[in-house]
Amino acid sequence: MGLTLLVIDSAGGACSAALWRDGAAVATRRLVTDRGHAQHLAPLVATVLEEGGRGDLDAVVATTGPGSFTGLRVGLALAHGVALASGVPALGISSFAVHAAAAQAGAGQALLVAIDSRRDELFLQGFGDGLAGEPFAATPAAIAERLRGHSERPIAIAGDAARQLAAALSAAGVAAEIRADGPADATVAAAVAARRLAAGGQLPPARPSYLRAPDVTIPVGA
Amino acid sequence: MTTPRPLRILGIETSCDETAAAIVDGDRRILADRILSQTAIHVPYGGIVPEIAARAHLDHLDGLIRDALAEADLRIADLDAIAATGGPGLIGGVMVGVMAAKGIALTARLPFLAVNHLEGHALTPRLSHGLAFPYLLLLVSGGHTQLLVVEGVGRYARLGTTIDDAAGEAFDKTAKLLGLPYPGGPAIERAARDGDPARFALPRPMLGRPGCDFSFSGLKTAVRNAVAALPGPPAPQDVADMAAAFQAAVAAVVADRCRRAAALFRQRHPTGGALVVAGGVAANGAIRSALERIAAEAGMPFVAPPHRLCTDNGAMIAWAAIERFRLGQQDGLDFAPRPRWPLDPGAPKAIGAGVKA
Repeated sequence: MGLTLLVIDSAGGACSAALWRDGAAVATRRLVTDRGHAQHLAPLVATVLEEGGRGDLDAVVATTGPGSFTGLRVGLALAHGVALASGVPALGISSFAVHAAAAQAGAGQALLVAIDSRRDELFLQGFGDGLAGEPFAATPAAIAERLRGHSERPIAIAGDAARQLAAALSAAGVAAEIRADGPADATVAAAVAARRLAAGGQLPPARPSYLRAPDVTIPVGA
Repeated sequence: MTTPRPLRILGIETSCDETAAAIVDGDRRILADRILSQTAIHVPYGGIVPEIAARAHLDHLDGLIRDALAEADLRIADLDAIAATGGPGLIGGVMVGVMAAKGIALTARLPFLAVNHLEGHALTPRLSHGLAFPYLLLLVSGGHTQLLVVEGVGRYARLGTTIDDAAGEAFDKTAKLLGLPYPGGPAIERAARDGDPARFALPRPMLGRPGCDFSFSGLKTAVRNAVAALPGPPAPQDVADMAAAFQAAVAAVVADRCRRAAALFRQRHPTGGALVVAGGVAANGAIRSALERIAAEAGMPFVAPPHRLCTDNGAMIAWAAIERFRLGQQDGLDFAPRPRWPLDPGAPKAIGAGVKA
């Protein structure tokens, strides 16, 4: 199939980059860190391009979140720069899709991905049996209440807020198993993106999905 | 054999509420200059909301860079380096520009330069007028109010700074108190045209005090108190008179501080020099006339770059990068954006100054 993708993630608690060619990652770098994404990401990407070869890119792909607003923008802006200089499109892949892929849940198994929003609410998206739907935000307690009596089969949990969600579900007596946790990984994102593109699917442009409006109110009397 | 062409650098500016990209060459030619002002999206909030600004920078920057390349009829490969404002400023926005620049640079294997936004302003008269070092610079904008001796690239001596609000910030806050729109500078200048500056007695903070520091927050408080003392909500004539009094007070303070700075400049450099004004507040006519008088008194030419180069723009970033690149300087891909980045780190901290100074 011959696709060559540069894939970047800095939407959460890590910076990572992967060069994907012909169905496999040929160069990868990852640094788990909560801070300094704007400092750490570009050297990782440069190393991956040096190791994997920078010619013949078909696209640059960045995770579109949700996640840390700043982290998201760091990765997306870098992807825009790479796209400008290489003449290839900058495409986006949902952070929910990447965490879901990391869970390797069985076909159709109910899966809930929870992403840290740095507020009380979690960013959530369900996949599979009875849970498939659009992304939303809810507190762990609220989502646990909603899922009470969902099914006998445990719900698979993934995402960088998986532990928080699992604790809330467990407290509410909802059966759940953590299948993956921690920050996303560009190598997983690359596999998801390559699979979609190879299957004739499309990826959206590399634009952020914040899932929350800026914390600001219009002043009274303005 | 062809003659070597001048350096060409792309400059990106995203540190406040202007998204900008420009291409400048070593012969001081601006080959492309794109600026997208976000002012309208911040109007409902009466000031800049950092998260909204950062989102807007990401939404528009790559398109603006493409537009700039098209305007200059150049490809990335025709450039010699990529530069972006690395600070100081609203850090979420700075990151967007820095990361886009790094992405271009690492892909095209071009040098990357992180430019101090203040250095961009400070070196602008060399782009617009080919001005020689040294000169005295008054930088007055919504984020900064500083007096600097510019002695060379990377060589700045800060004579004074604001210990509280920037001058532009004072205009914005005062406009808000008077019910005038944001941004406050043009609104106050317009209102002041029909006003009597003598009707309200406003203080002249720092006037006659030693040194060259500024303070504007007391002036804003005095306006608030004067508005509160009116029998009712300010009538149009009250607003005009207050705007005129405020503008006159700011101009008097700026003139006093610049007169002192010019004397200090003369001690360091007995001949030559110029008084340069940069920053958005430089557009204010009353302040500009005051500065022209000070320059004439001090026997220095008065230099004001064109308004488009005085407010935030990409050309000044590209130009500062050209100046630094010629001296062999560049920055690593691991450059960390800097919310605070003084031009003169050795300057004594202004007494009473907050963290922004």
